Amino acid sequence: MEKFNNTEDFLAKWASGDLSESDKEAFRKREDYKLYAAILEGTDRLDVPAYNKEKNFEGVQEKKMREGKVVRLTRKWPYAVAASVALFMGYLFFFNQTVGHETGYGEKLAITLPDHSEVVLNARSKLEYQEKNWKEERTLVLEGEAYFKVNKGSRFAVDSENGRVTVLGTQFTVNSEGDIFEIRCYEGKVKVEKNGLQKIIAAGQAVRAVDGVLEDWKLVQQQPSWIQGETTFDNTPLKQVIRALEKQYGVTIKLNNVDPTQRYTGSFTHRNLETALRTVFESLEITFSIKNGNTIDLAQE
Amino acid sequence: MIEAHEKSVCDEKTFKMIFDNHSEVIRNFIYYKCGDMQQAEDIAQDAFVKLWKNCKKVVFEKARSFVMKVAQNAFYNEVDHRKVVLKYNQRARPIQVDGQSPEFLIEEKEFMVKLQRSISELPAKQREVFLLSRKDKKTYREIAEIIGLTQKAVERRMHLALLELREKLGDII
Repeated sequence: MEKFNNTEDFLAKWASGDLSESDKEAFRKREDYKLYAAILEGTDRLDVPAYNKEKNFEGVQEKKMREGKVVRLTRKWPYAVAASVALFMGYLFFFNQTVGHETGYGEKLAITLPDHSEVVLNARSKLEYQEKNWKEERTLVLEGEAYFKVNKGSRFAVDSENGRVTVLGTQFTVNSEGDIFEIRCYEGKVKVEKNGLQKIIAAGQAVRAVDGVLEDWKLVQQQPSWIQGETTFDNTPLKQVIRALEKQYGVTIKLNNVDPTQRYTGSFTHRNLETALRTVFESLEITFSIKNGNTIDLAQE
Repeated sequence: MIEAHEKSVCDEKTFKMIFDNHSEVIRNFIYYKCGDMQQAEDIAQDAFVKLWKNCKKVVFEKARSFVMKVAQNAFYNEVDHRKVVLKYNQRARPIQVDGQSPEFLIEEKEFMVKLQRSISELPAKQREVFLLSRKDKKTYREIAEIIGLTQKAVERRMHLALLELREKLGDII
């Protein structure tokens, strides 16, 4: 086997099937041919760990969002498996330049405002603002939940049916829906106003309205966890947790005899409904059953 | 020809397409080097995030080699290496039993265990070529592109990898 010893790529050519017939024949006569063949065949039986393309793409999307890439307002921002859709309300745009964005169940949407402040909308939420005069009058109307990363500049205000939140250069979330009203401040200071009540909270603090009273607590995280696919609660009324589950997964949850005012501390994942339900309800000793895939019945002894 | 028809990496669909076509082999390539899947997937993801950030500067045709470069550089910065041990998939192809003695089956099992170990002990440069060729079914030319070597050099590494494996397994058969 001269060639075997005198070339540096003989085995490479053999493995890829590029040897000439006569070289192949000669190689087969070598006594270690069987061993070489067994190496290739054995390697065929070894497995590279499975690759989950979607999960990894999701990872890329999350990192893109976390790193705060500036997104043009008109660009669709596909997040998770479902692409989030930015709704432009065309007719409003022409008349008074109101820009609107809306998310569906389980969707999230990153928005860059005209002054490059950033907003991430959580599931089933709506945001509107006037593009005209934005620099002078930075006011948004929010229904649902959003995370704000505000650039320094003029007064920045978020209006909701529950009250108004005013800030100067800061990071915070507002969750306003029905009688839920919750503000978490991650940087700077935020002023919260509701029915004549006023409260100023600083970084690392949060406040929520429960039965007409503003109660506050301390934050553990540096950023809202829902941006990274998890929703976290701290001594939160159960009805708010349930609403968050419904919005994330597009399901209906029936309370039945369960008390909606009991409090929950913990988090749930956005990846798997059953895991999410188990983490929330098992710790509260509430049983649940899923019907028709999207109705969940609760019961508590 | 009008240049405006060129695909832009900044386009979400094009970006996803590049990801779909190349992310797995990039992740495997890094995995063959370091043996840590979590780390390999992280590095591959980060490389794509970097591609996105630079989407205006990278033309479509260069996107793959850009991501590959970024991933490789990221890898060189990491120090944590583990052993690359591929799983022995016994279910994939049931061993043909007719006429084979139990002794043969034991020998085969033993052979597979040694093969796994021998692959994990290959020098990283040989291992990545060997596995990209045998597991990811890449041609030597493609591997050369991925690693940034000449095809000749890739074939040399493949040859050496097989010699090395034969050496390590020599006493079995």
